[in-house]
Amino acid sequence: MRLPGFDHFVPGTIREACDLLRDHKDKAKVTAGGTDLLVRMKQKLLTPAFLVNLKGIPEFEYISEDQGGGLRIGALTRLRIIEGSSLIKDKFSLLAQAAGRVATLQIRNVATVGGNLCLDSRCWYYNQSHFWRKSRPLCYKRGGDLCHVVKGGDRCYALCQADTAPVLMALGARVKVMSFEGERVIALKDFFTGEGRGVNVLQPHEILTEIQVPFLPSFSGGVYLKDSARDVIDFPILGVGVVLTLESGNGLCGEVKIVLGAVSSAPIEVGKAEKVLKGEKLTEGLIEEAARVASKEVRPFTQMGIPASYKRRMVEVFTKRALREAWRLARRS
Amino acid sequence: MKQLIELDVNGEVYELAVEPRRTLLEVLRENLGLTGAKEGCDMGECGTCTVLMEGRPVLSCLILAVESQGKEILTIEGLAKVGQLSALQQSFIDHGAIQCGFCTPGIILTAKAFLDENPHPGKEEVKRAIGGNLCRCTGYVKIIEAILAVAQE
Repeated sequence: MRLPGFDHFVPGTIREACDLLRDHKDKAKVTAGGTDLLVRMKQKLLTPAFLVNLKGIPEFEYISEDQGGGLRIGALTRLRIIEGSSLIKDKFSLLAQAAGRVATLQIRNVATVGGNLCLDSRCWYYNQSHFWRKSRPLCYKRGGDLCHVVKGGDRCYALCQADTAPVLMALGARVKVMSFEGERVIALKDFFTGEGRGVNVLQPHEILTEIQVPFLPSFSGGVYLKDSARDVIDFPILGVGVVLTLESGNGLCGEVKIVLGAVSSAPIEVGKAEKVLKGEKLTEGLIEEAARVASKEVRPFTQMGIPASYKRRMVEVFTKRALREAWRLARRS
Repeated sequence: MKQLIELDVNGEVYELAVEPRRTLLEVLRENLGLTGAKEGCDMGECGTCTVLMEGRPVLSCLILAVESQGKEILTIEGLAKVGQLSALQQSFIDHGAIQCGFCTPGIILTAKAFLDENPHPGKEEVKRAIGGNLCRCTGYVKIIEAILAVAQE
């Protein structure tokens, strides 16, 4: 598959990049690692006339400590760097885990954390070559009026399969977004729309530039678990990001965040499952109960070869395992 | 419109005129005649297009030629010193780790980069390291043995 033609710009600063997007509006796309965009261009899902290559702006690759008590991560930081960073492994080991579970080593050497967060939703009927797709009527994501996955469905049900998304949401991260109009900071949970078509609130002229993650209190533990067909390469069938904090003194469960990826068009925080644990004395039985509640809280569809019943069962299994591990780490910390 | 670029491949600098839409894989194979890197899936899922960029394995099918300037690129052709195969290449032959050979250039380069950073890995680490390179013929056992054999030395 050959890429379609385009004009290629390499801005030296983010300001230049923002100006280019302002000038070319929705005819331009940014590329960071390019490992997702180029595939979709080969499949002719996207044919931007202009590519704004952010690789020429190394000032957006950094992991630095923030005075306010957290980390600031440049959006262009490569996943391989996040995976291996001793600072991230120390403060947010689940983020290093999630980054390390993305695709393959070759992709992580080039792909960026910002790109992973901005990953478009995926579906077997959408992420295919032009040749494959042309024999089927257009679905919602392609601007048509039906969904191939959910017969009679009212909207696009493509899934958010970014590995770092549930983890960063569980960590309460915020993202900084820049454009020629200025900058804004958005809580990650507000960044995702929940829609299969138009997965995040980024406008075509905006660029995600930074991820801000507040430090966790003492007695916190977090983990990312991923269910996938193979240990490498594959997108998640299910991703579970759990962050758990024990109250100092009495050891009761304080704050807990359980965020599921790849069950919906956005990462889903299972609040009802969290409520089972908050303020309670943790036991194996209570964790199993929370996992059960989580599995009932989600509404998976049968898609991408995975039956909904399997996905629901795996929500229970992986939530349970993740809570156990997060609890173990919280006690040890 | 074509752009004039300079690519540093296997220690030599090539001056080329290429359109932005040409991937590094296409340019290596079609402009430079370096056909060791293969077009397997062309979408980042098989690893047969793996080359080393600044010592790191990357997928040349998902990298544009125009964004590869100023970066040292190593292909399988650059591995053997004149007339002599590298230790890894010889080990692959000795251990029967090559059948059709399609995955071989990519796997050897990935393994080389891995061993450069981890000279004495365990078997599980080797398996994880080559996870991004698919092989349809061998079942990976001989490949892992061949890599471990070089690691022991």
